[in-house]
Amino acid sequence: MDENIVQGNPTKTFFIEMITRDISIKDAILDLLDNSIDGASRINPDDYSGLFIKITVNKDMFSVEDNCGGFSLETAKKYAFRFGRPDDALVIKNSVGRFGIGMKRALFKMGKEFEVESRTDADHFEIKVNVAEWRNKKRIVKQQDDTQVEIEDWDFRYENVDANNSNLDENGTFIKVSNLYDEVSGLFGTPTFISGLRSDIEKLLNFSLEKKIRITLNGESLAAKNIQIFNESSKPYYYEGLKDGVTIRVVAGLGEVGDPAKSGWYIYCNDRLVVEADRTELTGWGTLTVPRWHVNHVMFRGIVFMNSDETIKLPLTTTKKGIDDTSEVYKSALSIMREAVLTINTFLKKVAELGNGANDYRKLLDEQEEKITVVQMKSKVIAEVTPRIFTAPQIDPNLLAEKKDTVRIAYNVSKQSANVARDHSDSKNFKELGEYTFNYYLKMEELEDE
Amino acid sequence: MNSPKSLNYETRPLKFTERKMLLGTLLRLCHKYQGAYQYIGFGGLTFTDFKLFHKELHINEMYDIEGGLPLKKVTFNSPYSFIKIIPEMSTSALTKLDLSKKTLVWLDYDGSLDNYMFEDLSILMSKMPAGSIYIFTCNRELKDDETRDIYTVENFREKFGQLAAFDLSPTDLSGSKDYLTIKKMLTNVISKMIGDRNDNGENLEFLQLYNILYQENRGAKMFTYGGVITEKAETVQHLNLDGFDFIRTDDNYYKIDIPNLTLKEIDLINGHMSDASDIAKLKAMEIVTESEVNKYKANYKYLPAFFDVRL
Repeated sequence: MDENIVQGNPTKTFFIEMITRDISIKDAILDLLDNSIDGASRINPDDYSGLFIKITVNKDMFSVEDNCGGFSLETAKKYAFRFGRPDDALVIKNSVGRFGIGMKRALFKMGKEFEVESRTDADHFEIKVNVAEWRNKKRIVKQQDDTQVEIEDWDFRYENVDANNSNLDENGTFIKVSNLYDEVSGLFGTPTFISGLRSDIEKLLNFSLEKKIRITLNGESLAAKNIQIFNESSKPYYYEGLKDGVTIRVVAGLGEVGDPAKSGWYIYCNDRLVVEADRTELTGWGTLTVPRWHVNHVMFRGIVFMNSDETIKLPLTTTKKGIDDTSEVYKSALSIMREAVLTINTFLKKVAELGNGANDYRKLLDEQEEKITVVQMKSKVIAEVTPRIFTAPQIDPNLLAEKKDTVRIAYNVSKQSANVARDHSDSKNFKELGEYTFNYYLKMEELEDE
Repeated sequence: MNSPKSLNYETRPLKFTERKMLLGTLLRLCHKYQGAYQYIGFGGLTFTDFKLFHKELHINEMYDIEGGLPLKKVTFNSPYSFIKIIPEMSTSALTKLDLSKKTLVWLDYDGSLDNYMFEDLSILMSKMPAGSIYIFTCNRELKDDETRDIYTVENFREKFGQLAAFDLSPTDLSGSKDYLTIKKMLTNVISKMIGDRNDNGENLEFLQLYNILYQENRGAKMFTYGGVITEKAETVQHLNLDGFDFIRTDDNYYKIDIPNLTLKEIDLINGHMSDASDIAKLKAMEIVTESEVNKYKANYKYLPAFFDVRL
């Protein structure tokens, strides 16, 4: 045996520490969910009806179960449980999660025991890991000179599963982590962590929720935002362009008025909802010629879809949770977003001129108009529309007529002289006196025809 | 837009002079950038610029934006049936036009500066192709609609938000600098919009040509700014516009100031324009002043001549 060898292999302990160090628990969970969504997308990229993801998080365990198709034994062998990612790995288009480091990292991050079960048409298998045992596992290999040497064993063992001991009724994936690390267990037992996780998932998997996947967290259903734009007598503004490898699609128009907090811009990066109902300078409000958001803009809805095969090109902050507004890609989108707001704002201003009738009109439109969902907006064939044009609904000119041409004049005078003038002019009240004196002025100054 | 009712634009001599000046340069630009233009403007009731640009520039596609006057009255007064009247306010009307066509647009606002003017500008600048010409006119006095006084810096900022320069001072809002403040706001929007387009793969520049001040006799103080969208690195020389004295590519203004001269005096000056000694002779006659001569010389090519005739 060659005594002079220096082991070049990283130890498993070191490896686990490295891959789990820079990820938050929340992100680790979201990585796992991304794998489920990738599965759903392989089944039907446009509609996830009938598919589900059930997440259970408590101080004792974490589990996620889906019926999103599962992954094959081959995928498990080649990608999912292999360390590092082979160069010939499949590039999953537009995918945020990948069976790369993500899944293992998430599992190692949370607990000391985990199991992963996958069922497809072809395979049904399970991998159970006790991290402590795996960490210490060694194996003996024979060297060229027939001497034997003990090295770290990085392999995982799988077992085939039959229907009796299965966690899955359909093709899908079941993942469970137990014997949680103390700090993870503490976190999972905290109500604020669970509610934070809920809103994170609702945002990050919003597009999948809009495609009707059912996601539950500890039995509670997560909600889609149901972002919709009127699409009948009013036609949305569409734009599509390419900047530095990122496809930018901007769709903007009118939406319902029920909840003012829904108004504003929504930004998706590879289908993750990164910005929601934004009404700040980030999305151009109050910058350059765009007005600050005002309640008159309540019907405004704008959606930006930025997609790239390479996630790194998207204008995301390093945490992937926000927009990097210094990126050239985002600046490019922003110039279009500004144009969209200006284009639609001319109509919104007219609605505001309806004064007291404005809200009734907004509600009426809501009742009359067909709507288009974000999923439809994203899949809309751009060649079918005139780009960068917003078609406003007609406003009945009779509704508009009254308000516009009058102003109100108000001033204070002494009570005594007002009484004298009122009686002298035979006015019934001060309002009439005001009108009388104004008309008197116009007449005396010969201004009536101006 | 009520000013057409109170005054016939065609008899306002400075306005007339300005229009003729613009026409001179527009002829050259339309020649350079061949192909059909569309014209967008505010025709009022007289449609003076529509008539002029149709006949002189041969523009046949014309859009009249008219958000104030009754449509029937405007339609009746429209000189040509091909003029399309859009009975809406400018911002709304502009979003409905195909601005990807080569465009000559003169937004001759009769009011004082307002936010919608910048909205109009950014809608235009986000789409108009190279060769398109933008001309802006407004009352240059920066007065608050409510108080009728010159804006305070705070009120101006409140009204115009980010469009207002961060280092704005009260002098910038006064009569000596108001046009510069407006110009700066316009050019900021233009360069931002053009910059955005260049970031998105175009290669454009806005070349300023007009920076004109004038005041009709006891009338409003007006400011005209404008220029042409070009492919990068175009010059006034190359556009064959350097022969026009009133072209301005920087902050210096050209002021239209026309002298009050009789026809006989005009004839006299016309006969003494060849050189300095000629002018010295003219001065010696003590009929017209040097300042009148200079004003005349700067503008005579564009001056109107009004006659009272019986129709």
